[in-house]
Amino acid sequence: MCGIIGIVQKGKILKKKLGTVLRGCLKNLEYRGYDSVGFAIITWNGELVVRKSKGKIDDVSRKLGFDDYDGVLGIAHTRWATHGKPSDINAHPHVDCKNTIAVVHNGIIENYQELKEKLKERGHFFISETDTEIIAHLIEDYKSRGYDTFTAFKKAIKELKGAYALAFIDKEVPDRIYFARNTSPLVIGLGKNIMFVSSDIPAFLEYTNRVIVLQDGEIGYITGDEVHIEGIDGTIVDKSKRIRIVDWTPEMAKKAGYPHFMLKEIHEQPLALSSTLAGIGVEVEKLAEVLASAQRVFLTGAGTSYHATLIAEYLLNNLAEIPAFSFISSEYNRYGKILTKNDVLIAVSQSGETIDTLMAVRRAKKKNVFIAAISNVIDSAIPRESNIAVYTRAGPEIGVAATKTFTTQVFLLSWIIIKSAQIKGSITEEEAKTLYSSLRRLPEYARNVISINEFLAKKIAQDMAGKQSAYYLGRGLAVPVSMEGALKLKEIAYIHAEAYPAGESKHGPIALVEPGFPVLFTIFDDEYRDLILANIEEMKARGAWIIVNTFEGNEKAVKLSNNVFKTPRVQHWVAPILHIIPYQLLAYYTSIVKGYDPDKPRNLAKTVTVE
Amino acid sequence: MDLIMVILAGGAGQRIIDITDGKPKVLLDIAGKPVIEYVILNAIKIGLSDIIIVSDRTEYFEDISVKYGRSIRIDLVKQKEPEIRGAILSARESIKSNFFILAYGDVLAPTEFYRDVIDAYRVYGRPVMAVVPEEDVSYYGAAILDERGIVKEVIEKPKKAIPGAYAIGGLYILDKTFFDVLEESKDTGEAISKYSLEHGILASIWSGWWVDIGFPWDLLKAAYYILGETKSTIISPQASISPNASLKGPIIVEEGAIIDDYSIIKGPVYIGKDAYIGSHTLIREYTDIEKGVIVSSYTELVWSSIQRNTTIGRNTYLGFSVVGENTVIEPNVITMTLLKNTSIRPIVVKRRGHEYSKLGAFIGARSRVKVGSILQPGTLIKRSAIHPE
Repeated sequence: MCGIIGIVQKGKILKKKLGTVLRGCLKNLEYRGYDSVGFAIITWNGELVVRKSKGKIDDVSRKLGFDDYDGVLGIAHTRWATHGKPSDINAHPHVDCKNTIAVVHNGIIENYQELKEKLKERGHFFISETDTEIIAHLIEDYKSRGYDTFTAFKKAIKELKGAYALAFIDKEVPDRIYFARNTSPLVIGLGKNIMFVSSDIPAFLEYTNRVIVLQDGEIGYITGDEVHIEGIDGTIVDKSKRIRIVDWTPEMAKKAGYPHFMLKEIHEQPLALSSTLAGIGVEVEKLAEVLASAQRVFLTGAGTSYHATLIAEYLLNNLAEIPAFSFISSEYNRYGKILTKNDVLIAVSQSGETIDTLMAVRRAKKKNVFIAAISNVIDSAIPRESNIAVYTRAGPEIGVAATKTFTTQVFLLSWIIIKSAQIKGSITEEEAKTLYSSLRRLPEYARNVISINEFLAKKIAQDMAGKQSAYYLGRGLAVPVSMEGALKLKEIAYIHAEAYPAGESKHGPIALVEPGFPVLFTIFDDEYRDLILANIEEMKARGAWIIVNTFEGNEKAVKLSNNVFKTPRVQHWVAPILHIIPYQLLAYYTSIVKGYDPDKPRNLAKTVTVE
Repeated sequence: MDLIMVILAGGAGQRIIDITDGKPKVLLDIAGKPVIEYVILNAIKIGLSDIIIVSDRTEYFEDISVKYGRSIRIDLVKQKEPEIRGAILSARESIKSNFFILAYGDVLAPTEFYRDVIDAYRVYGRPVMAVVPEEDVSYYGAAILDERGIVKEVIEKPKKAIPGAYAIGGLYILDKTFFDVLEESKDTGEAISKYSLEHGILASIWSGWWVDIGFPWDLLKAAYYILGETKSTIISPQASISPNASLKGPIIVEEGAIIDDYSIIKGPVYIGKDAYIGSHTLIREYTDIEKGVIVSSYTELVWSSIQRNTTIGRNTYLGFSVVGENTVIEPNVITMTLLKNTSIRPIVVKRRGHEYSKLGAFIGARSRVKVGSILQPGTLIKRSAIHPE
């Protein structure tokens, strides 16, 4: 997981120095990795300058003086180590023996050892432990055999195995940036006399909103006023059909007014839900029809997206009465053998690039399963490989811990399933109508939930910060919400948290409970609301610290608790969207109390593009 | 940067008057600096070049404006009418730019608090207001937000807690049309509400530490955060420290301070200019000893704020307490600090796995606490009083 940015201009277009602009773009990619940083610039005199170091963008930029460099074009990189530890040498860009080619790369070259040996035999000299360095030498090697840079590049690419997105510059062709994509994301930004290539759109959104999302196997180059893309078979791609206008604003990718992206994104949920609601179109209707006539529905996702599928699974089985099965996408062989063409697979991925989910999609496609994608990024890999794609309209999510994309995913899935239940006749028109109107009120309720619970979360966080472990319990539809709550606490507050159905306590987990052990109960207004009281009692009897996350008016549960998160009373079918919010806030504030940066949890990256 | 910052420095602070002794409360000291200097330093750090300090008694701020005159331009403006409304209106003539920053001088927060609000203004180009999630907004004033995170209503002095309301953060960026709205409103809350209806003030939500100096115990909160940010021990070469004293950092000792034999100091602790710390004293964490304070031998202090020129007699114990300036605490005075039931919000401390609610005494300026007094938790001694009478 890394972030790539490349900028090429025709004449002096940028008002600021190129180094400063590259740094600014990289800042918007910092969520993709942040252990080392570097850039390569071809100056106005045609010199190649490469500067790189271990560390976060701001520190490295200060140390290396990013702002002092200007030039016609440049590439830059923020790294999250996979091959080779974070160090000055392993930081990108990497250069060839002659110091003319500089490469930045995201992904993994699987056969790099083999290529490295071969190149060593041919006299190439390697200085880093990375797989990336071989790319520079491989291109150099082909060039030395008399090929021009682009042909050498194409020949080199044919030898690479693995998932990658890469960009490179050649001092001998000082007007262009070459790029290639295979599995890892890469997008082109088209400005006026200035072009961008990047891992993600927010990087250059400040300069242009016209983008081309590259597809697997595509290769090409950009100059200040030209984009050249070739498909896997060598045909030249007609760009005009591929240009999309992005409706995000650069502001949406900045944390202006908030101390952290995560807090901003929590607060953006009412708006994200409204936008998702407004964006519901014909494809939702179509997918609902497909589901209503499906024999079985399988759902897959990773991390937070998996939790969204669990909620959808429950709704499919219990509301629409369509047999549904969720599985974690890296376990894509789980149902692999029994899939048939009468089944539907719903693949949920915020980025649309999650490698495990993509693999699951490909596995199912082999069985001619109908694939539906739920994603937040238009034209990303999973939607492209699916039969139908439905998009959440949450805007860019920068914080590594998913917040607004979860609530919008669940919102969209709920809407689709209610629709299919209606088509199938599992619920009456009247019931459907009531559910839709509940969903329509959620943006307003979400605002309310944030305001009411934020200081409570801040207060409870003071005590949570001192805990080693916590249980998140619920029954029925509240189980996946508990799982998502526990994941938030784990990933940004680094507190071990576990979620399981509350009825399981007696079968083992309660053995760990001692006085002060935090147990968080999620309770909806459903058939479990009284049943769960006994589960609270059994925890209370052991001195657990009881935090209840429930609807207003649930006095019985409140009485048993030490602390309460309150949400408006809604039908339990749509309640998960509201009840997750206090848990997001709790995790955020606990992370703050512990002095961590919730936007950059250790060991994690936003989009996981390596298996 | 062309934005000007108006700092409201007036307000005697009725709720803390026994500690301030009637001086502007922004002049209370925390770790060697009056509260308002922290606001000025933050203004400098975020790159502002102009400040206006509004006060009904500008003479109090002349020294400060000279002290920082090289780093930032400071104008003093006399407040003509009462309340926050009057203070803001007084600054009207001095503001040339269209947008301006309005900061409460009695709010302490890290630099990022100011930076976030300015970033929001720069990105969106619209008015911004800082809000803080706090439990009881009736202490601070309430801000209610709408779905889009825009300020819907501001209530300056709510009678009771409002569910779902945020505390007013005490930092705004507004444009000059606000003055017209304010002229026609009865208070600032009403004006902000009306103004936001038209211009849509963006709420900047602050999740870090934040202290509004309103009550005496707010000085203890402030000491906790400000001293907590001290990372290393800094001892002035002009301080005199006995080789037998034991100092465990982080501790700041200013020039002229004397630390006598066998004194034990456990940081974070601040010891001001010319303060005297007697032998066999025990000065524990989050204690803020201001300029000229005398702490006599065998005395123990923990998490307390001792304002300037106060004398604390021998063999005394003060914990979780605030003492105003020029006060005399005679020997053998003991504060009881373990709180059972009270309406006052205590300081919660954790020791050896247990949580305790602690609160000491609030001892007014120029008062005298007689030898051997035992002070119950939450005792308030009025300024200039003799205790017990």
